[in-house]
Amino acid sequence: MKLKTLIVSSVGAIALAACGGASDAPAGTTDAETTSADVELHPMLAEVAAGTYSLEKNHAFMTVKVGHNGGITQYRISFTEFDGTLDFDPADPESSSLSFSINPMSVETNYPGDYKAGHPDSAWETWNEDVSRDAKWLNADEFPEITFVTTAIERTGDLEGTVTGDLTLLGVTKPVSLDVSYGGVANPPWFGERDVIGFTAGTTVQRSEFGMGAYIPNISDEVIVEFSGEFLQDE
Amino acid sequence: MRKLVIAAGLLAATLPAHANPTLEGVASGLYELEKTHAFLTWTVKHNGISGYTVNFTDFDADLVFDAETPTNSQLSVSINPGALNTNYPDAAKKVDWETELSTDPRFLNGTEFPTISFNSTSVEQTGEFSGTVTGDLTFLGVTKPVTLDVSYGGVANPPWFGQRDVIGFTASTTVTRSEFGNTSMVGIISDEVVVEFSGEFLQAEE
Repeated sequence: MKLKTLIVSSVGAIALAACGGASDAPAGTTDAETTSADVELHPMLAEVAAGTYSLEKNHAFMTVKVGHNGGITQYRISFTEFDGTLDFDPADPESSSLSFSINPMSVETNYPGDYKAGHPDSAWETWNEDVSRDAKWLNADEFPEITFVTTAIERTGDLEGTVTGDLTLLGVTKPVSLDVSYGGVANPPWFGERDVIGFTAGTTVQRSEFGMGAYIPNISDEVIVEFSGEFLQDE
Repeated sequence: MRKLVIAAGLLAATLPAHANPTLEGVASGLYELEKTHAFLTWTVKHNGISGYTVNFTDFDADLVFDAETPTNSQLSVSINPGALNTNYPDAAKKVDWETELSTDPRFLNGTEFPTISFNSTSVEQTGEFSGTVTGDLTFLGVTKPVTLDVSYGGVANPPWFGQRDVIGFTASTTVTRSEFGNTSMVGIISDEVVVEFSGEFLQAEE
């Protein structure tokens, strides 16, 4: 999506979708897959199409946070290249499934200044590269993909649930549970009839369980992972 | 606003476990931001359904810290609106988008208002290691009081800083951008802007 297009289109969209995802605003799509009226759904799910959704990458954020210096503050890293596919069933969210893939080369630390000048002995040109490629961190040359694939979904509230799945990091696969909140549906006109649905998700991973033990506890074993983003109904 | 609350709650996830924050033995005086361990983000709700988060990548802060009476402390922050990281996935468009966000009069209008600043006016302690810091935020040339929720995370003494103390904080607030005259795309982009900081301050050298 071109953002200038988005902005221009938005002028017209404001009147139509003044608050995307508002419970009583018809979302504008009703196709054969839309949930039938005789099932009583939460209003924020009632107009949502079932089917396959893909990550809308321009509006998706994945960050990890670790405690630094023994936990006096949080050090924040973003992944900038990741993708996800969601098979979503609004009538029965527990039967949905999610798969995610993250490129560990795509680390963004927002390191200020010249890393190499301050770290002449480092084997790496940038701190981003160090975190991505060093064997004590994400070791991306040997393990070029981090993946998550759901195994079970449990609904804990109208719009919340836990998504359990297999996380593969550094070649080790372990079950991890995400706390997920559904944010609603939007229908920006530039996507035609296709629904856009939003989620936030978070979990805490013990990195030592995946074999990454460097600098514990100066850098915390606990890694908070947070996602916020949108999924676009496939054509 | 329930959805916003949920998003903010997730974003404000608790710090990874820390042994025991302490103020004992922490030096009072001037501290400067330790920029290699400092993060400042703003998050707006997009389409009403998800959080859109942008990093400020060029900002500085001075903290006059009174470890014995934290309410006597003073904080000043300066942010360059021209330095953003949106993590926009298309590298070619990323530059254009960040330039537009930084400089367009509908967004941060950084050409006309090249600095966003915050200067504390009062500090209140609400818990052993938490408090509120109220101050004047100047954004788009408009100055309004804003209150930050602040947590003190503790002190560290990495050997490469000699005797100088390093102290950590997290802070957050929600700003209503329309109060500063920024009303573009309300309905698509939330009026509420969640601002979050996490970072370290290094005791200034004598």
